[in-house]
Amino acid sequence: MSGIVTLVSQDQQKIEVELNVIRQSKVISGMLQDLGEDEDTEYPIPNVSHAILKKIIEWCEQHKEDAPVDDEDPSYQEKKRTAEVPRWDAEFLKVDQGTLFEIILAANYLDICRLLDFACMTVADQIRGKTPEEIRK
Amino acid sequence: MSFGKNGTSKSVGIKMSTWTPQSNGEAKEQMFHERRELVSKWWNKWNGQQRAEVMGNLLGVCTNKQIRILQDKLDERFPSERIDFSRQLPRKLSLHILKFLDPRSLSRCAQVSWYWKFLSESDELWRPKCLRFGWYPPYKPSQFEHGAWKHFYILKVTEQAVKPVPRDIIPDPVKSARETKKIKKQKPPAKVWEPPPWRSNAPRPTETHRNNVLDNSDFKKTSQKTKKSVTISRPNTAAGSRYTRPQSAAPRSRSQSRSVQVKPPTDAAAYEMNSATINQFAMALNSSRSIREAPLTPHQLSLTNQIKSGMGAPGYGNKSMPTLDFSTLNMGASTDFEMANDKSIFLPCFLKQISLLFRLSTFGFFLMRELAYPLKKIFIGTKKIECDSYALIKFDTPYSERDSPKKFSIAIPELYKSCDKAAYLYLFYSICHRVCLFPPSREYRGDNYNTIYMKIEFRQGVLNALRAHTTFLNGMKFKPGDKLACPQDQFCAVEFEVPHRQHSEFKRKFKEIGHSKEGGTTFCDYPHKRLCQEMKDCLAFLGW
Repeated sequence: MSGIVTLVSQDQQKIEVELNVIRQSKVISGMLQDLGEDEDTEYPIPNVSHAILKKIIEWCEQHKEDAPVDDEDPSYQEKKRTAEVPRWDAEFLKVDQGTLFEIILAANYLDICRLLDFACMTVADQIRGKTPEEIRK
Repeated sequence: MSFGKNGTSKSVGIKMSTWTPQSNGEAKEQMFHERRELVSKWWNKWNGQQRAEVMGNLLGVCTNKQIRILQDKLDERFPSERIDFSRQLPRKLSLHILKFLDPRSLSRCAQVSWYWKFLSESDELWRPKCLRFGWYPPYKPSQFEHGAWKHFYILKVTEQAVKPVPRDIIPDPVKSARETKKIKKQKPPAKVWEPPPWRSNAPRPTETHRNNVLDNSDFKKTSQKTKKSVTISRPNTAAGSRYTRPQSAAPRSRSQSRSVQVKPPTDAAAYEMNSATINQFAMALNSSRSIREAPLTPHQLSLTNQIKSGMGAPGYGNKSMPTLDFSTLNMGASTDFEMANDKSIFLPCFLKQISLLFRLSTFGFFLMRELAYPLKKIFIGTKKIECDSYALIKFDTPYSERDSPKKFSIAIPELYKSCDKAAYLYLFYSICHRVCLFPPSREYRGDNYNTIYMKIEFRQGVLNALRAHTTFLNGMKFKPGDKLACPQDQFCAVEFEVPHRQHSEFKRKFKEIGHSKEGGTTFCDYPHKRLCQEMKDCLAFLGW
């Protein structure tokens, strides 16, 4: 249970993460359940580049104490609709748009629903309150 | 006239020496530095136009590779700011982003481009907005009726006479977020009628009449009410919209930032205004609405009529209308099934059809996520699940059972057996015999390769169990390769959306595969431990 997982990103670089950090990702934790947790197994994540994976792990480290959320929980849905992006996450997501979109893709792929929601909210905030001409830019 | 050039020509022309700065490494380096400095010195002296000209010339002689380097440097310096996310992200994620927007912003997004319009009018966005207020359309929108829920939302909002909303639906570019805040602050004193702020600073509103005497000529009989009718007759100004404030003060103050809070109309009376003012407002609003709103389209008109008369849509017949209970049906063509128990297998029946829902193993959806994006989400009860982790299979129920008025449940022993708690994750393994990836058939896809299917073949035992309880399995319409031609009910298929930029690649891939005998990629019986290896293999097979 305790231990370190090795992830292999798109460009074949390896990253070691603690297990309880990466539990945020439902895909990876599901994979761990299915595969058993061997020490020497490497988990390929072929859709995510090294830089983005590192960024995501950074986010997971920050949020590792948070209770896991159930995406389908109606109360969470309700909260999601009204909540603001927390300050740390807002800082974390202050990146150029290309990176932001890649984070969204990666979070979707790894099924980290809160990161996905925060990132999407950030994009939505950029759109909100703009005229069509402004959005087009 | 550069020094270097002169020197070279002198040495070549006069002394006839074989030595040139070009042949000597050190001198060459030095010369390069000198020339570069010279150029930069010139560069400093040129004005903007000249610089632009030189840059244009330079770009002309650059090779593609050099331009690529330049592009990288530019990207580094100016991080990309203006990417259209709908091009980068799959449709599902774009919709997820748009889900966070309020109706007004969504309507604005609809004006951005064709694709954005398509996205922002999709039912997935508007359905929850309607449901939150408990608005159900009186008929079931067909899946080809694009934007039905948006129309319904607008309609409902106008019908309920929620004042702020028409303005929200009609994009009003004047208001920025900051302005909104300001108005919020002003709200509390707004209970008492004040002269509209754009008119003048004078306390006597009669001035408005004089200033707008031309406008007034149309409204002679209402000349005592002057300021109301006059101001309203100017469409689309910020002032005009602000005008409507007092009556709708309470709902709007909350609705500014996100979405519209609907209040029963009776609340408006809570504000202590005399009835004359209210009447005037009603008139003002009516006239303003007639100015700003586009006339209803025929479609919207028919919707209104149907809602008013309480009849079903023409195509659906009246019979469907009175009995449909949308809260249990969950609105939608693909969602006519329910949860039967909470063990992650669903055996719902819908009179004519039974739908089976299998949860795929991690392998199943992990693999598919490598290749494609999930196509859409399914709603089950209030639960939302991702299509790509489930396979949905529809069966026709036997004719003898169809007369029974209620839903019935069927126990399929094989399925239940494999569905105990420990094994439910691996239900997929126990059911499927093998899995193929295949492109949709020609008639189904036209010439597009924007979807692929994962096909699941059943084991014989399961197949027999299914056949015992149903008459015919409503399989996918596909034409597999020669060898895979077999009864439809042996298969089910899961649909996936292919990333946009990979369409052409997929086309090529599947053409190659199509020529092979097997007609698809086949995977058999996966041992869990070897998952990684096999996944790599199959990705390698497809060339990823």
